[in-house]
Amino acid sequence: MSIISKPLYLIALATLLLASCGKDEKAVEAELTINPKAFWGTERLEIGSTYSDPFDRPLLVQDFRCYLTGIYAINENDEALFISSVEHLDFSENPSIKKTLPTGRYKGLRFGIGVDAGRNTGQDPSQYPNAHPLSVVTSQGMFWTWNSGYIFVQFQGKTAFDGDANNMLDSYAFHIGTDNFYREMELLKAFEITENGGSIDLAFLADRFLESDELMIDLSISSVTHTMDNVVLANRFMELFEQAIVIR
Amino acid sequence: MRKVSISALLVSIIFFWVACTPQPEDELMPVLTDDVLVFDLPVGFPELPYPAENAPTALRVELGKQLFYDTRLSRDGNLSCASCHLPQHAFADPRPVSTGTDGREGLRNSPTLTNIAWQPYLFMDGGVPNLELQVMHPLNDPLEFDLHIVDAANLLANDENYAQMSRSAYNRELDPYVIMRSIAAFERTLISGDSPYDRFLAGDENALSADAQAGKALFFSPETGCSDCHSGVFFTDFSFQNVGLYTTYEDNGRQRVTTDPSDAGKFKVPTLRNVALTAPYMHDGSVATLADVVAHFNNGGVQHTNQHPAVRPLNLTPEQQTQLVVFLEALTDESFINNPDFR
Repeated sequence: MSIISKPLYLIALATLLLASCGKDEKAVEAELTINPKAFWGTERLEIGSTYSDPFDRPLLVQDFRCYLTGIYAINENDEALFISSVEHLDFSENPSIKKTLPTGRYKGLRFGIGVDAGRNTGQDPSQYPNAHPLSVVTSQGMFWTWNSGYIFVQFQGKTAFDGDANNMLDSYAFHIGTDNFYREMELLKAFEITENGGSIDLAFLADRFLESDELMIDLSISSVTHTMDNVVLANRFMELFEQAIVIR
Repeated sequence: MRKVSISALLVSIIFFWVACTPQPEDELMPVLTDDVLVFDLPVGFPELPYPAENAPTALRVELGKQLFYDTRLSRDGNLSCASCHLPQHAFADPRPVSTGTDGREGLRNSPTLTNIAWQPYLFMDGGVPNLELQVMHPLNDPLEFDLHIVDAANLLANDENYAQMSRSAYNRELDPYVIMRSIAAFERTLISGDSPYDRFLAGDENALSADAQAGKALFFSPETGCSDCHSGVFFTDFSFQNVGLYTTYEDNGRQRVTTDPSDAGKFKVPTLRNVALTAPYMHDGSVATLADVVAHFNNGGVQHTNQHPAVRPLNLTPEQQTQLVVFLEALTDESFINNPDFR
């Protein structure tokens, strides 16, 4: 005791107590898994499968991909907890988004459909590492070289305007992008992260991409948009698309 | 001491002999450095612009040149950048629209690459903000090379020459990043400013014929309004204009980027340097000769809603029209198209 003065001893003791108290107060965290899943009606959407559009025409889905950016979980105090800055969802695979967050109850998710303006136009995808969602590798087919921006949503395949499922020669393609079409949305649906983690399905209801209670797309009238060449169809599709995303 | 000195001398002789003996690689590779190149720019040209991460060095430019002429960048292996940007045509294409992989026809006339470094945006609609990004387009476009740049990079990655040059030039393996930057670095060297017109401005009064001088006066006169848009050392203000070519445009030009109906039928004002070598003209290559172009402007276009006000009937005599053509021909830079550094 002679080599440690009394005040120094007391300071050390207080520091130790404070540090241990801090540990006790630290929130418990666990992993949240978000599973983006595409559906056609009640079935899981399979890329390469054929479904029926609202007019009972055959619809072969060959590609469905999209970008989500600025993904946050909303807790019960209305605080937004960061999950991911950008995700590329390719529904020919089984995408999932994982993030460790404090345990507790949550009110829903907030995210943007597409790539926010700061990361969209004029960006060089070759500057990102290959595994990055915006890289030249990941964004193959999702980056417009003529306008240097990302395609936010790509939904395309074959159909037959005459309804002949054995002869699907007509194409449909929804390539939606440009800053004007970036959409921010908040989906409120309670979920919980326990000490064992949490899991929610982010469902994309593909049959509703072409039809809702108020809107409908007749592919025989207009079936292709690269956004700028058919802004009317792009607007309609995006309105339907927003309504077709739910948490389950 | 004496033994050590003799040994050291022998080692030195062997070292210098080895160093001075040409190695096979030396024979294959020109001596290139990664020092930033300094260009002797034509009088009046602004400083050469380039992005900080892609300063032009001899290594980068040489790598870009080799890639520019490499047909392996196209899916069918038949096309290189030079297939549609021919040096003898000032890096433009003499066909109305270029032919891509499998003979697919493009949608627009391939523009000249003359002084491309100073273009503030690329494509006739200005959709692409820099040369590096522009390189991606012809590779990925199904109507052009139809080979995604990632696949092209994978294909060329095993080429030892490219691998070595890529590491030396960019300190990384050949990948899309390197392809985009090196081709852009080469394209920035395509500088042209040594035409008879330039020599005339520099004091050589014999550089322009009497007709060319008369054409020059017409070109810069308010009566023709040519230099309203074809202004400055590059003979373009890089604006987007509708020149009244059609009443309804199949290709909406700038409107494709902005969606603004007032941009329908507007295309970037092209440079007129080397214009005599870049026929046919207009965005779709629909006008065959310079004389036809002058005739179009003399007639005043079709009066499209978005037409530039300077495009109006000019009432030029046939002689004046010829003089304008002669002046435009005097913007040809022979040293540019014959420059061995570009081939």
